[in-house]
Amino acid sequence: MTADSSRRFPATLLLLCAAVLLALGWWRLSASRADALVVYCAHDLMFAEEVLRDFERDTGIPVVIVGDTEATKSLGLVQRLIREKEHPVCDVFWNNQLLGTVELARQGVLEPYRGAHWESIPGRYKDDAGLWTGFGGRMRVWIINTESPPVMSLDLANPVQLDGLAIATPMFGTTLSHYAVLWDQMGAESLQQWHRRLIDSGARFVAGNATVKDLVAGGVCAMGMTDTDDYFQAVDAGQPVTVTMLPIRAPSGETICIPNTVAIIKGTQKRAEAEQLVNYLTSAESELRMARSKSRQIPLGANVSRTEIPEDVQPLMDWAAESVDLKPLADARSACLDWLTREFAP
Amino acid sequence: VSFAAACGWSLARSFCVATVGVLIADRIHRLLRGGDSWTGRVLWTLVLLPVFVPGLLIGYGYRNFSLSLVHHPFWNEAAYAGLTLLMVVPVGTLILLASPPPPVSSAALHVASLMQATSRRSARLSQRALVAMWVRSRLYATLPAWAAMFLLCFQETEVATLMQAAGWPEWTFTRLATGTDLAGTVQSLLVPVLIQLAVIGAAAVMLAGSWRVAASAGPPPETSASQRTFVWGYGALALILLLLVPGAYVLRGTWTGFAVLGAHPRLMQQIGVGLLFGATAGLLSWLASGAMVDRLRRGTPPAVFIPMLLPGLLGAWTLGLALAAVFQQPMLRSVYDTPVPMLLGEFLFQLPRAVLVRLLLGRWRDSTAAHQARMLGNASDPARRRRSAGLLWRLDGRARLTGGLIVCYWAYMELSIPSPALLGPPGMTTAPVLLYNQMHYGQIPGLSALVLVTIAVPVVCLCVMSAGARLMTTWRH
Repeated sequence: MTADSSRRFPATLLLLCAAVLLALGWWRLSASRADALVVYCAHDLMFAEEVLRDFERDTGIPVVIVGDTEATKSLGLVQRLIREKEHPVCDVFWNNQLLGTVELARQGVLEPYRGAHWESIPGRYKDDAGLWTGFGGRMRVWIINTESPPVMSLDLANPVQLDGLAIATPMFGTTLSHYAVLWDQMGAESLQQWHRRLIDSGARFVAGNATVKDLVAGGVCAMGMTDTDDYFQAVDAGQPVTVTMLPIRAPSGETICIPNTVAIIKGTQKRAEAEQLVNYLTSAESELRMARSKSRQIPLGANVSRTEIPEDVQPLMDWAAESVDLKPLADARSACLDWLTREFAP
Repeated sequence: VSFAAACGWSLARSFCVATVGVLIADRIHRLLRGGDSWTGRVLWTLVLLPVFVPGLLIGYGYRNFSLSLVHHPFWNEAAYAGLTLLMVVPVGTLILLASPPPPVSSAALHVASLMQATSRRSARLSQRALVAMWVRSRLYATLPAWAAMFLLCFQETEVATLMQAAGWPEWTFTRLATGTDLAGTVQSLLVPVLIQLAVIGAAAVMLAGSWRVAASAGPPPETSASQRTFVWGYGALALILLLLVPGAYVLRGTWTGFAVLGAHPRLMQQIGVGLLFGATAGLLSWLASGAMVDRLRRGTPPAVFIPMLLPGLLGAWTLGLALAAVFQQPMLRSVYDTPVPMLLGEFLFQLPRAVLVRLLLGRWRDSTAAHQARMLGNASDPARRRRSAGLLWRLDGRARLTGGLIVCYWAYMELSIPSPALLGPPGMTTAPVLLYNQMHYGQIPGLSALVLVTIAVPVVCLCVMSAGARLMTTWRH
């Protein structure tokens, strides 16, 4: 061995060791997810992860979670599932809203399953063929700052001065569902005029409902449109927002309640495990648990006893009963999304 | 905002930031070349620290400030541009420091201008030759530094997203999220790619043929008191705005949010995935860059390496989208759900950075001393050979290890390529990516604690490895 090669030997040995260690690491990581149930989850991971970890613990089925960002909630995952249709990676989709899941059903991405609790869920919150099942809903509500209350009327039909109003970018998440309801009830032209009036009046379109909550709670905007889970975060944190909740109503006078939905992806190799997760999420225990969590999801199943539901969630159940049926709005959502995409990213 | 407007806005912002940045970097690099005193070392640390502050920390720290400017979008854009300027100036400074002296010296330029004044027509240079001389003299190092800062600013997405600043990456992301297929999204990248290629091309032409690795940079230029004050002031400002302010936000939340760590038992696992990813991609880039720089030193023209460096120079978002489109082709579909695309993407992305670090190390390496230490290693006496190993470690090995660890750290902190939206397979989401996605919910105490742990773990690992290497060297002696 020459002096040069003997000098290089420790470095080569070190590199070899590092390469072996890294290869072992990747092998272990790949092996650990080989048997796992892949769950695409659009619900806030802060809340969803705990539920899914408990499912893992209770059933022994390992779960791999793929989340979405708050800003593109849940549209990013819906589009990804459509792209992956021919080569599915995901086994179960936990969406935090309904219309995106309906779109997946229309695109043939989902497999039917009428689970153990399917019967107890009201018809408006489930697919008739069992392609998806709803559970744990959220309401669209106003969030209003108490220290700098808005001077404008909540009647958005005639906005005058709205530079204190915050709305999440309507291409994503529950705001897209909200716009789809307006598209359906007001008609495309009226909605577009209304939307432009909002812009002209100074309303702010921001990334996600959590941002809306932060803007209002921080006093930067006087009021905003958000979801109950974000609203309750501000209330729990003692931020200056009105304690009396005010639901947003569609032109028909109905409220807008957007359920979580769970669906099995067509082509999954883990059908039995996927069914277990669907049953777990739609069970009365899970609904109750989510109602008691900081996100205060509204139980939708008939098998959940009202007396067990936290006091601040009980009024939400009554409002949810007055809500718009979102199921027939898939076409409105698609048409509205096309227009919004041209509007925001032409 | 239309794509043309988004692209034009990014272009204008990057142009302004790079132009102001190159003026600042020029002043800084003159002072940094000036001396090796302890004040010089403090200044080095101060100026270069922003290179190690991850974008997710800066974006997180300024998210709420940005929200407070929601009624003043212009000021929000100005604040974002200011932060970007502070982030890119160190890179421009490093390139100026790594650059050899221009092929046309200031003296030569001066002589040429004097010749123009002479009455002898035959002694005068043509206008074209004069311009060429001026460019080769004044823009020789400045243009590559400007180009690097322009590219970094043009490609920046991490802070922009959290601060809701407009730009072409945000536009393409929105289109992708709303259903434009991957091929369509990649096609929309054509204009940004062409802009970047033009900038890279200009810098490459400037350097072509005359780049010499580790060439002498000449005597340090003289600096005035006002220049020193400016540079120190700049360094302090960058430290406060890029590290102390976001750091304070994280620490403030951490005290009340540490309890949340218990509810995230998987965080350490995700940090582990991040470390594995960073170490693998970083090591590959570091080894490949070593081979490239070695060949450069042996005279291989730099143009040979441009095809390998180009993907990384075009930025993580462009590279990630392009690779996602490639690996979703039927032939490669089976590989898409493995770590291979993610590692390949990160390897290519870090490669130009690794090359820059290598060039910088070569610039300060005392090659004569290293050669003599190597000669000492040929001695028959085992004690001398051990001594040679120790010397080589101090002169060369320590810097190489540090350089490699820095590249691994950058790879660990990368947010676009390992994102599940691009190349990250299910179950292999790194901790920084996961936290970055959660940052859109706002500044939450629990999240601050998670951010602190996510940043602290690799930093502790780097310190332990450096200390371990130092201990090993001491032990061998």
